[in-house]
Amino acid sequence: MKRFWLVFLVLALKQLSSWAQEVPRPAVDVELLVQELFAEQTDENAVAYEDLYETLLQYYRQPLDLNMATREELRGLWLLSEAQISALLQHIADNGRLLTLYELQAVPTFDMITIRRLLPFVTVQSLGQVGQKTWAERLRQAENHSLLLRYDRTVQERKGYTPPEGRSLTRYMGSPDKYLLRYRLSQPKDFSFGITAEKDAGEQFTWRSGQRQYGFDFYSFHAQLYDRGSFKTIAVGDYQLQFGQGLLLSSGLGVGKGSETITTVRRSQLGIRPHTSAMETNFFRGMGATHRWRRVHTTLFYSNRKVDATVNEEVEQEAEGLSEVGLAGSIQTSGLHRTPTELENRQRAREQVAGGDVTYRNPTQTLGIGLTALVTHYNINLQKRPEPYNQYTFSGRQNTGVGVHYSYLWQNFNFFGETARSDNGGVGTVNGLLASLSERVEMAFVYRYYARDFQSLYGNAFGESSRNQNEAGFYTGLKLKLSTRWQLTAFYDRFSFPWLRYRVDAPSDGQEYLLRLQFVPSKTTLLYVQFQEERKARNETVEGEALALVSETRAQRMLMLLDVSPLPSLRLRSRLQMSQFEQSGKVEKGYLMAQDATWERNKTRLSARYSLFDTDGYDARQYAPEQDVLFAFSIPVFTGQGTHVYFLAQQQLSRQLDMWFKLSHTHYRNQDTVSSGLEEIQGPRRTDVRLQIRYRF
Amino acid sequence: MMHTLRLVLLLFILLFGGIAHAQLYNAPAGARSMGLGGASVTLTDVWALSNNPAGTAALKQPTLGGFAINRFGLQELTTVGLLAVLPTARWGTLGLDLQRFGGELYNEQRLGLGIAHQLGQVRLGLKADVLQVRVKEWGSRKAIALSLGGQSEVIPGLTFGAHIYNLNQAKLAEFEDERLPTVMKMGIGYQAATKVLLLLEAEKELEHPAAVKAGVEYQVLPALAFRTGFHSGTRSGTAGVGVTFQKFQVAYALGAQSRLGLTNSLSLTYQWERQP
Repeated sequence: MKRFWLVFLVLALKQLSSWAQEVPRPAVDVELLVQELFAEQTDENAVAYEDLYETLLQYYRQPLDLNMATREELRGLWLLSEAQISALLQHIADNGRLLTLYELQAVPTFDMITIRRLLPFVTVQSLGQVGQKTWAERLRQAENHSLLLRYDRTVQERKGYTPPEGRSLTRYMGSPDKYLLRYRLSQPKDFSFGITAEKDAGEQFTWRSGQRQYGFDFYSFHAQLYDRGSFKTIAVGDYQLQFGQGLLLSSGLGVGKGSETITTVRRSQLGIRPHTSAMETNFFRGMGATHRWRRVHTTLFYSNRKVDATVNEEVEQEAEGLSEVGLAGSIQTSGLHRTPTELENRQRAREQVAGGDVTYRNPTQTLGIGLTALVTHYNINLQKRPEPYNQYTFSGRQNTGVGVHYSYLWQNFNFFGETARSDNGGVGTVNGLLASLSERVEMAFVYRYYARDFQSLYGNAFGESSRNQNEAGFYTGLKLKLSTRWQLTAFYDRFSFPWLRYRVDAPSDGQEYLLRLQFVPSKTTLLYVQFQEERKARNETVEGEALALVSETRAQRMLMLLDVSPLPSLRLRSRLQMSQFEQSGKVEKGYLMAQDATWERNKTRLSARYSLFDTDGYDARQYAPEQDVLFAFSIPVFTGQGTHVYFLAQQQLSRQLDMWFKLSHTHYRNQDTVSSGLEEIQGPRRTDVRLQIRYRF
Repeated sequence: MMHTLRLVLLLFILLFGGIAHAQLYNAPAGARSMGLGGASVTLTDVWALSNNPAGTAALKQPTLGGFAINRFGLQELTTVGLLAVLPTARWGTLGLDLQRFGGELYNEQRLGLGIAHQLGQVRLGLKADVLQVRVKEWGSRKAIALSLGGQSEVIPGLTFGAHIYNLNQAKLAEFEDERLPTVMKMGIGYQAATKVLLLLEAEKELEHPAAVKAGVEYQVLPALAFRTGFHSGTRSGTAGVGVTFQKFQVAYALGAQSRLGLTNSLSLTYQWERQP
């Protein structure tokens, strides 16, 4: 009987607490968030961005409990200034746990804009009863227990799916359908289990154990426990690691330069996190654990997985007088296995990574010092294409990296940095300062120097290039709260590349700046204007010249965005984008105009967009983030002339079941085909369908 | 000879610049919008039926408007139109739009039906136009263009408007995949003072460069308004005047294009009952 009352009380408390914090938690507006954090998506490496969005989204979908959050976790949200984080921690220390999210208004330095930005990503939980419940109970009452199924298909037939004829006989082996299945059972700060399975368009759905194909093309599994005795995290399966400034270990979560000019330049140490997305590269498979002893956190991990690789030929190697036959090749990161060649390269090499991190933090969490080290071993001899720009890229079988990192908070100045050395003696360092000069003025400075021969295979620290190699630069960021309604953000970044780069056949330098003026006249309106310019060198082919000439390019981009919600059920968003790209007097211009409307009522949510685009060429292409089904994102890129329309519907069918449907259609002018190669479509149209169902247990 | 010359000039104009595309292009209707450089996506008058149908939802009384535009002194480049707007309690605001452009050798006609609703601070409008192009001795073609418009008050005094004309990309001919122009406009209107209205608008025709339009309306007296504006796409400056006389409003506008000359526009509006 006593037990019954206890259960009753717990349940009643839970009910009560959920009433107490009845702040309407708005849905995460991924489109706006992406626009906020990333100013552009014009790097050579588009795939990395795609992965990044997925990781970010996963991260943001799990609201952070403000009562339990550490300084490091609050920094990881990228939405709070250092002064605000200190104020919040101080508030909790002085007044005890937050009872509702409304209490945030009482925290000094928290203004309405900040709170509104923060609301979708945070929560305030009632006192945890973790230790008092049995495993069976905790699993049953887990906050997140869901199964998700997604289906994608392009309606038009692409060349890769037609019968082989013509000059190239290569075709995709599978169907044009894409499937994703995701199961997750997790409770923040307690445990997380998940399985992800995916088949990309063009891949086969087949069972051939000889080829290591078991139905879906890609599987991922993870199991993680948090706060078990002296262990902070124990991970089995697929996981990601982020330590220090990400110079040696950073998978997924590194944003870089964008219109959020202050908080995103610093990486936060998130340690071990589950790998939940369907991205097929940049994660670890094996085991890892973080141990806590007083103020020292020690992490050890080991990963062993098969990776895709092209294996060129068997190369003879002279080693100590013995003739050894080895395989040489390079790692593939697309994660696609559609054609016979792609399938042949699937899981062809084995990668083993072992390493760890030791970090000390002082009791007030203002000082953190750590040491990171890792060894990577491949069973084949890696060899990049023998191009001059690959001269200093990693080759061989084994690479080690050792680095130290620090973070120190003095008043409202946060100093942070990391320095590392790779096996071959290459050194990389990144150091920065975030300064809240006053409640209204914040500044950021980051200096980085990555030697041309610095080789970090999992690094993704702050920088212009997608890889932390061959770069030096200095970044200055500014955020100015002009008034409660006006905000100005800006950055200026200067960088140089002492060695050649892909498509740049000479040492080069460049600069970039951004200005954004934001106006929030009311709770339901947001208006901003953003201008960005980048100067960078690039090859230019001149007729009759054998060598490519390196000359400066100038890219300018402008964006105007208006977001209005005139009725609680209706949201309108208008977007105007212009870009100009110039190299040696040749100018390309691009233009995009889009109007969105979102209507929401009870269990239904409908969104639509109509947009026009007109670009002179690929260099003036337009990116426009758009809404998508839950856990997905899309930032389509447009070149040429035409219109793009999408329609998205979300319906809650029952308490457990949700359904999404998206239809997008692009109609090009003055062209007979869309895309190229095996992706080519005959005719000027492309239509995509996406269907998703989620069942919550 | 003169006729041939005029036809050649006409074709020249039709091909280059989208200046005289008239109905096909959905050129601004009414002398008020023309006087404001064509920046009319946020306005709420009877001409809104053609310029951005959402604007008609703000009209409280049945209104009738007639207008004529003559471009560069050429009779063949004249547009005449008659527009009627009827607010109803049940169906929202209904509109009928009749326009004709051209002369005997080449002409375009339009029959448009619009419907608009006011939802709180938002106005939404939908319109369908049947367009007919007739070239003498070559025959005629018909197409249906659908348009969608919206207007919303962002903060008091600041209105935002957007309009998409021909969102279905209606096809006029198989040859060269000729389609009616798809035009998207977005703009803001700011009531800077009770007497001063500032307008700014961006317009993009799918296959032509984007244009910026801006206009100022100064209401000197309750019955008298002066207007001026420019349009970067047609490279023209405009000026106009409007007079209100009991239930009638008369407006006149003059546009100057440095290479092609002057454009005149006159319009007359009759409103059944003056708003209080």
